[in-house]
Amino acid sequence: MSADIELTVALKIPDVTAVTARRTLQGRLGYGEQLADLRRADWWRLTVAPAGDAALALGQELAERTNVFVNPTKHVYRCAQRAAAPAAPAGCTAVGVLTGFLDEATADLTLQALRGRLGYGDRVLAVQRGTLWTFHLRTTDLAAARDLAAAMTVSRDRATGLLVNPHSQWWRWLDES
Amino acid sequence: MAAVPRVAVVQFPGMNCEAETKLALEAVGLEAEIYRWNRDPAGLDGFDAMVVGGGFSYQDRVRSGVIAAREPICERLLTLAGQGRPILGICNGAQVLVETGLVPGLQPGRIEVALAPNRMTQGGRVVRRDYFCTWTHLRLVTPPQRCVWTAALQPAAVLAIPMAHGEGRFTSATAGLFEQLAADGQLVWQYCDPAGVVSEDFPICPNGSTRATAAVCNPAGNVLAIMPHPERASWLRQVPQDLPGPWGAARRAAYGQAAALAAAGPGRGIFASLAQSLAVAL
Repeated sequence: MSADIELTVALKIPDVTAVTARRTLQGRLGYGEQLADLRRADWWRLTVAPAGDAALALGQELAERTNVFVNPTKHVYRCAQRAAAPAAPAGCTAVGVLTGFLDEATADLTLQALRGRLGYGDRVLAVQRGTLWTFHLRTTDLAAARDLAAAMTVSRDRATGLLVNPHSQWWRWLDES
Repeated sequence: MAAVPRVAVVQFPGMNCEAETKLALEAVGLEAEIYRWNRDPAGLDGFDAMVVGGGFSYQDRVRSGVIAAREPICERLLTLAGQGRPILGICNGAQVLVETGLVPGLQPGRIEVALAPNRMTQGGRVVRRDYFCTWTHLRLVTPPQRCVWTAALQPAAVLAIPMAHGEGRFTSATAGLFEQLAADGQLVWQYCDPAGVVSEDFPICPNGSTRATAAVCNPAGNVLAIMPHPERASWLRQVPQDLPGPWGAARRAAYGQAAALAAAGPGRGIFASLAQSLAVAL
């Protein structure tokens, strides 16, 4: 028996990377009208041996006691079977996009550390890592919001897209993860 | 155009190599000026060439070079590159040129490759990853006249130049692209050992780059993106004494001799190539 747990970790203080990305999309790529806000969080999927409530308890322990995922001084985190669907202010639609690097190796190193040095052994089976970007878009049409988010995400030339270079990175919708 | 060619050293916030890049350009007889990103982009028209130097533009937020590439000044670089103006991107500058779509520039403005996080391999096995800093050797694998920035060098020249980056692995999702670039002479420098033998294995190739690629130029040869830092190897005194190969031997032989230590270092030839090309053009 195993279960997947998703851990999202965000800064308590303003996230300057998200602010810079938002301002670039609004000011340089022409999305000033459509993009209300952009938020960022680290995203981890942990495959653990226990299932059900025990899996969530283990996820919480990994988040709080290992000092690998969360620094309580500067981070807030959420641990659940699935990352929460993003919420948006009135008049906006929230779209969650997961991104990451192809050939990403940090997740493997993290798995090795959890299983070896930190003593979790076979209780942790796999680790995936990414970045969760949440777009707040000024439309109530989900399909239109997704089209906008996709256009803002993938860099095909210097005038379109920002968050992912498709030659070295992947992306997918949060609810397809 | 001025009698002494003028070169703009384009500086974005977070870049930190502009001073030594300016010195390296002045050492080959060029006039160099640090040109901050928020000046009028049209002002670049008054320069004969541009260098985008190394550092950490915008703190490498989102990914290296991408925020700088969206600045209006990069639109001007695209225009000037299309007019044949020489442009060099060093390290973070190379990342900016890639994210601007200037390199490899098969369709200018399109992003055709990435400089991905380092992933060093030996025999196909990953042995190390991310930031690394060392002296490397580079082999010129295209005819010197193919690129403005190599025109004064000997064919198959081997240079010793330091690298320091976390995202320098040339890669592309387009199958066969680097083979095409090599066939077209756009793959300019490859990592090699001191004898000039190219290898994709760490530590000869310090970042896992496809085909051990260290530098790529555009089809016209006037734009070059290079990950190692030639400005940090422009004087012999900058070469470490324990470096293997002829450049290390030259440095050891110059020990204690101020005049000899002030001689040209291995990276000087890249800037001298620009000076030679501009002298011919002007």
